[in-house]
Amino acid sequence: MLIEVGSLTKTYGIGAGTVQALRGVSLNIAKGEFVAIMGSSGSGKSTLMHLLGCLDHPTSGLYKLDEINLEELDDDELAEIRNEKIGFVFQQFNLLSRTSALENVILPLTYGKGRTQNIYELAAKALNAVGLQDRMNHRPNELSGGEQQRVAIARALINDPAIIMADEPTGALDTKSGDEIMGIFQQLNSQGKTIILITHERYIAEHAKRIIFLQDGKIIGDEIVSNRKTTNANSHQGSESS
Amino acid sequence: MSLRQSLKTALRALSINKMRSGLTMLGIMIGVGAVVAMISIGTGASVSVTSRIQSLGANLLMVTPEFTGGFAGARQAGGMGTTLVYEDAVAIAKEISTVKKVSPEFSSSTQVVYGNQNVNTSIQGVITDYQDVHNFHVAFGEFIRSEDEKMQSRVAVVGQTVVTNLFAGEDPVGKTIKIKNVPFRIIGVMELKGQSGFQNLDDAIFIPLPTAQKRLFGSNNLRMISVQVKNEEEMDLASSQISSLLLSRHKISDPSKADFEIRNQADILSTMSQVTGTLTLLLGGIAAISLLVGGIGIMNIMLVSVTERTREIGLRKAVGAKRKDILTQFLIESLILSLLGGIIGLFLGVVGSFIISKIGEWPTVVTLNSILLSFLFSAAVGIFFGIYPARKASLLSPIDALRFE
Repeated sequence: MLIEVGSLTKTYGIGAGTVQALRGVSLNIAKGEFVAIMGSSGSGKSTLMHLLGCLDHPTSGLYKLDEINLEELDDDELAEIRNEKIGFVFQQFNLLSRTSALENVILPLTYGKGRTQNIYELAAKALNAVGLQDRMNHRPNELSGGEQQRVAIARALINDPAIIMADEPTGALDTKSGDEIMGIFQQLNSQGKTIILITHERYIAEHAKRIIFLQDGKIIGDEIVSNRKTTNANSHQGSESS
Repeated sequence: MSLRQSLKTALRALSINKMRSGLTMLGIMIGVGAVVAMISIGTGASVSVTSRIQSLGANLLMVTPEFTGGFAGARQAGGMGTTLVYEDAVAIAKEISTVKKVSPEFSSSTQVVYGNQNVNTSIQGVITDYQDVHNFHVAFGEFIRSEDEKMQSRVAVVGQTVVTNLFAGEDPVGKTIKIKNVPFRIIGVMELKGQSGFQNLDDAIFIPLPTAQKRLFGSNNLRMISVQVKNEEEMDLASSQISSLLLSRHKISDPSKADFEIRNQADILSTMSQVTGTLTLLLGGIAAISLLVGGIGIMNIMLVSVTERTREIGLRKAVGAKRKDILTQFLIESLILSLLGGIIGLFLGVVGSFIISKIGEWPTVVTLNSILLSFLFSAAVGIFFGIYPARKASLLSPIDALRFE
């Protein structure tokens, strides 16, 4: 198992004003899966994503990622795990402004250990994989939303992580660009990447192979997608979103 | 993150807000520039005072009269006392073995006339040894000889300022001037001395001591006895020997009631260097305050920068930046601001002190120490005022930072 989670809870605040965001979540995700975590706002899906993404410590519970017990690690050690094993894609892209696509993609490598050789080659390869080979030296403000998100995906890919975590990756995009992004994720998954997708849209979630439903901090459903939405995996390479 | 990468990142961040970075650096520039310029002014003053006092002559003890009788607590100004006489000087020269040469001196100010010109200048009654004791020699012509003393000759040697004021630059040797209506023949011109200590010896006329005392002013008193000691190590010994000799000659048993005072160069030097040292400290201190204000400017801008870039910090942390990486990044930014500002400020300070010395005719000395000091100081300012904002940035939680709008 790539991810093993047992009775995970997360409580915010202290005293009377506490909010229980997660009330005991247990789940397993195997390598190569494409899982969507669905829920309405307040269901705890963002909190779960933060915990799965090693951005936060759980209040209690077990979390094993790639056979590593995470509860014993401090902030800096978690940063190392994030750097090596997890690639993030956010709703707001979170690219560095005034910095070329290529430099943005390199960012995780600058915080990694010892991989200083050929970082530009690696970044070019990652941008190629998302179909942006012609836009490497453009800055974020010169790219469309879809293209910016593809830069973010290339950035998530550069360290060859075990998991890609996408938090509402299509939330800030039009339908066409959103479909292209989902196409890229499906393509990456078919190449063996494990992908965890957080969304509140059923339509987006059905691009995944498995959907976990979350409500009030608990899992209320876990199903295999039967009528999976598919996008032509290579559609993004020819067409340009604008 | 490698240092090269950090530098690149910091430079990019600073170049995004060029105006803001420039203004922040300006604060440090002004601070460092002011410190360098002020210290160079203070050091210049100290160096020039020291060299002027040293030019009075080495190994010199100065015996001056001190009026002690009469009204309690009321002291007359030095030189007005009536206690030192020529014979005291002779006794010092004869009886004290540590003494090399003695120069008894009388001085007074009076009107001097040449043709239709007249000036008010200082008349110095001196003997032949005056030249050696004060390391102050005749430039051309000749100085007062011992025969002139015996004969009470009416001969005079003039200083450079007198040549300018009274003779309008023409060669005065051989000319006759009138001092208190007594005609004097000029036999020589002194070399240029410059302001030395408390008097300007260029604006003076030197005549034989007996001539001054008996022919002109009718006084037996001396303004000062300058004593040249053989060895620098024997200054204190000579001083106490002179003191006991004069006490016994003046029949005073209690040394605290002495009617004279003995000072040496070292005393004056240490007093003066204390004064100029305080001056340097004061000027540097005031300038350092502006450096402090510049540092606060850096802190201010870095805090704004951390708030503005909260999302960026969150992202960097999400992709694997450790606390140390973020701390280093922001610290390097504030260091670049302060060091770059410091280097430009240093340059401005050096240029500024050069201009001050040219225009203000005030000696300035830029020392390596003041350069190193201001450089280190600006680096310290960058670290000190950068550490708080950088720490603040490094402690941000990645989730909170990513959520920040």
